[in-house]
Amino acid sequence: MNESKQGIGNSGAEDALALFERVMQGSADRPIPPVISATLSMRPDIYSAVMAAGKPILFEGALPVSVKQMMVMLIASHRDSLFCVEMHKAMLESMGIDKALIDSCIDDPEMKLVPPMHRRLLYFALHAAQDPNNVDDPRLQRLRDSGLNEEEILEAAMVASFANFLVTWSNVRAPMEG
Amino acid sequence: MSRFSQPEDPDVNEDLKMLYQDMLDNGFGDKEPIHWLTSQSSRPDILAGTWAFSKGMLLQGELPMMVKQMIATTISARNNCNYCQDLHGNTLGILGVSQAVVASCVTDPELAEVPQPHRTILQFAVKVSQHPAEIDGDDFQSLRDHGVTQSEMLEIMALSAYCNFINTWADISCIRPESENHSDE
Repeated sequence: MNESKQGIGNSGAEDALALFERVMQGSADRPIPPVISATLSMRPDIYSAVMAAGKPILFEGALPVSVKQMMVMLIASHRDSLFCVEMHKAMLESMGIDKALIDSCIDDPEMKLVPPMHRRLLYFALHAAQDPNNVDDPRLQRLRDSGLNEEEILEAAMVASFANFLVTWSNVRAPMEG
Repeated sequence: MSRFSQPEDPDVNEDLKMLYQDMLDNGFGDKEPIHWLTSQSSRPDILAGTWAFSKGMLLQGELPMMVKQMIATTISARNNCNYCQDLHGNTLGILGVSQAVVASCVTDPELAEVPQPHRTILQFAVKVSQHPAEIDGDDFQSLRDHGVTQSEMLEIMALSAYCNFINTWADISCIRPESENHSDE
């Protein structure tokens, strides 16, 4: 994604990852779902496998990290995943993204404050996560027509797919203790 | 094979070449890796991550391979993911699971042909995949009653969520089952 396409920058990606790691380590005064805290303490092998994919998909790559966090936040808001919404909102704030812009992603169906190309990516990601069998070629062509290349579109589709892992996993809210 | 472009010669990219070899060495393909993996090959950086995730979920851990594949087959069928249902269902056959049990995983909401404790594990996994917020203490107790440990429960939950991930990618990328390659031969 070249400079002219960016309306939301990539600075602060390290801050977002640092906040995420502090939350997972329990040092950010932010509760985490019981399934994730139990996995961290009892099955670090599973957590490592999750992060092996999560880091390149969400914190690195060709698309702005801020837009990828917005994609996950939007998908999570449609799946009532309060933890994911709040987590990704906090990471966006840590990146210096304007609060009104963040709120526009999830409170305004038209996302008026979101730059047009990023809005198209958010709509695409939401549709792909909710109805992956009906992602058709015209929908992908609209992204190409917006100036996105194949590798960026693949990355957006992967963010949507991985978001379906995150919201499912974190939405198990019941404590496990017998 | 995929709606996303793939390099004509994967051997040109050293990272991709090594990834492909590791996939084949671990049984994720015959002459080339399975379509779910090759469909990501224009982005070796992402593929390296999803491959590591897949190895962790499907090849490593505490649950027997057969249970992991049963979970993947059953959830993929519920998610209407033809590619993953075909891939994991065929893997169950290779592992020696009867066609009656595989068919039950794919088509029977009651999973009547699936013996215990696997039936309870699959019912739990499907609930995690479809309605994770509705999982409650009774669901965990049902697993405990069948001798499933807390550590294994954590693996079942992560694997169930992982299946939603792989199904979503398979559907978006429009990949066709490997078995269709063989039927053309």
